[in-house]
Amino acid sequence: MTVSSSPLASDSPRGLRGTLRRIIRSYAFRVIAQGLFTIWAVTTFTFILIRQMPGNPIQIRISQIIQAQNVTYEEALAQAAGLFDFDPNAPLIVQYVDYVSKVVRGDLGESITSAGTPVLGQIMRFLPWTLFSIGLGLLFSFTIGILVGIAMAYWRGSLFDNVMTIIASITFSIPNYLIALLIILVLGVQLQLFSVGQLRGAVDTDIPPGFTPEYIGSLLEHAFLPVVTYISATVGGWMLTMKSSTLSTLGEEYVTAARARGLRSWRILTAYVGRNAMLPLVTQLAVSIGFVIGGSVIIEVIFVYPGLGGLLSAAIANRDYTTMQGVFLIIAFAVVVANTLADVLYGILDPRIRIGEEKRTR
Amino acid sequence: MSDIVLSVQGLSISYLTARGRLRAVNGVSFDLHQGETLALIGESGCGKSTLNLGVMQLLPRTALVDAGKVIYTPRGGQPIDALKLKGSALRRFRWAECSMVFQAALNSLNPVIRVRDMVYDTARAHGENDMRRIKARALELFKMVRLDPDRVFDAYPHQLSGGMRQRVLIALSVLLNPQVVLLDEPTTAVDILTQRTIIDVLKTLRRELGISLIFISHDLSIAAEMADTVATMYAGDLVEIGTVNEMFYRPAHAYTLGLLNAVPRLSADREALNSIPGSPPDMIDAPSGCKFHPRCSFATEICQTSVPKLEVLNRDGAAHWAACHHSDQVRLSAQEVLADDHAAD
Ligand SMILES: Nc1ncnc2c1ncn2[C@@H]1O[C@H](COP(=O)(O)OP(=O)(O)O)[C@@H](O)[C@H]1O
Ligand SMILES: [Mg+2]
Repeated sequence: MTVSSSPLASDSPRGLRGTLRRIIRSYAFRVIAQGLFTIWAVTTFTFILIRQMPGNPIQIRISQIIQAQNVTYEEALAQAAGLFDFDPNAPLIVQYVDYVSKVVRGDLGESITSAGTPVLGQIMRFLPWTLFSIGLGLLFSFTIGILVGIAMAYWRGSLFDNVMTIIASITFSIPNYLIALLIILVLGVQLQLFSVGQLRGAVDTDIPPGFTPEYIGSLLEHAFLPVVTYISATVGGWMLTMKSSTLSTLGEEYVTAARARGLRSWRILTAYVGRNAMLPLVTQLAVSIGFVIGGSVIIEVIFVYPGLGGLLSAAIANRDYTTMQGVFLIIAFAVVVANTLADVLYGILDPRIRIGEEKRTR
Repeated sequence: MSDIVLSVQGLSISYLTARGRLRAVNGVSFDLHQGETLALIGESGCGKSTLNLGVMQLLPRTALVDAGKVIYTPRGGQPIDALKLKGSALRRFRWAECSMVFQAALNSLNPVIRVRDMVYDTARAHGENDMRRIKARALELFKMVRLDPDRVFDAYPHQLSGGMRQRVLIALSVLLNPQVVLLDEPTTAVDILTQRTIIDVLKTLRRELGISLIFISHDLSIAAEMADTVATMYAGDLVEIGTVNEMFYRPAHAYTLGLLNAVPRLSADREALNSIPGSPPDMIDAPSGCKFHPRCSFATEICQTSVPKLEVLNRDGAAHWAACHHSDQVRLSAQEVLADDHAAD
């Protein structure tokens, strides 16, 4: 009749080795180690990939100068070389060691193409907008998806369920950049519901920043289209997943048991069905954050929204190695943080995986 | 004047399946008296769980109640048809009047909330707001079912063993002091020692709280120990019902006799005879006449053509009904088996 207790409780060697072992086994340590490894792997991988791209910053600039000023190659080379603090002929391994040793100290270097501009500063200027729009998009999409998904499962087979299933399947299968283009074409150009030009940027520059309704309103107005795009690209997936998860939860014995105990339907819906049905979605949330951040690059370019996406696409065009590198690093970092948060959320929702909190009762 | 708390009258329940309509409960009637324990026996698939779920209106959407009534008499109140209850009246009937311990007991607890929250949820749903009182009541019940009250009260389901969860559910089933508790195979999923504990716990609760039980089991020795009345179900039909002594010493339906013979006895050496040949019939396309006839050693022509009715056997002795064309032969045969057993002892 006894239940095996957790391995943490079973053996507790003393002394330095014991302490060391406990640290290695601890949840926080595992999370941090995993995160650091992921970030290192992404950094290394992108470092190599970026340098495999055809052309380097100097060559790109040379051809730009040739085109713009109609000068000879030698003249352009002389002009371009003076602009860069970068030697494309240095061995890759030297560049790599140099880069990593700076990153470890929190220094992401300076932009190659515009000398003197720190990459971290650039990123910090653009990152908030990306986080703001993606955060808003995911929050809405997740909430709407869960609510509609539950409703679909409760009223399965109804007209509502059928219509929603169709909508979800369609929006889910359209790539997000197509949705963005459709929004611009249909709502902006055809129906003239808004002026695409006016919605460039993150906020109206005429409005003084502050906690004023005008400023916040303008922020939301400018973020509106990217957010709508993120929502419509992901909400269908949440709806369908939540529906199937809810359906299987509704068949669980503890739901019937709750009905047998005469519980009110609202309590059953929230604490018995909803909470259990949400569990698989929280895991998925972590995965989807990475995808949405990746997809945001093109969306931000389409809507001329000043997030990391714009920065990254300009950096790619100019082969600005350090900026690209920095943006990828920050994206990897954001995904790792998001994953950890999702893990923690899962732990709060599901006591079965809560770690080392309490021993089993005998 | 009468002390009948639950009277099931002509209850029929079907499932709509892809292959057609499946009659899982077929015109079942019986009375449950104050403080009585009724054991429902029969192989699995005979409709026992469906019957229980039907009483509490907990059937899945694919099930239909085709006919029948479930007349429930509240303490000091007028009889009502529990199948007609709706909305908040139904919610009140569930658990405060009639509660249930499910067959899949191990999955009957919500994995993400604590036992105490399930206790409070139940109490709150029935208008109880004094949580201190409810906690005291729950702790007292946990003690009665031999659990460590404080630890279990604050535990999550996964922190409890199977036997402990089963006892939590039993304690929970009497939380609101119902008159009737339906127990669906409460001892099937647990080991033999826990089985013993659960039986003892149920006896204690029954004695202290004066509840009536419907006890589903295919373990006949447990049924014999717990029950005042035993009912046998076969393929949706209630084929025999009587006092525990009548049923076990003078069975009158060939199927009941078969079930009894299938119980391994310490003294017996004729194991080959034991189990009933074949398996329960397809209930969408059941055999004609007596549904048991293809598996029955007493069967004659009449069994294939005419459906036997449930008939009173002894007009003046202990209550006993059976639906078998050959109940006399069955009884004779049962006497021989029992005589053999005595000889072997
Ligand atoms: N949800 C369901 N849908 C269709 N048929 C079912 C369902 N539940 C049970 N049945 C069928 O009803 C019959 C009775 O089942 P059940 O009441 O569970 O029997 P028991 O509890 O006696 O083992 C069986 O033939 C079973 O296959
Ligand atoms: Mg059953």
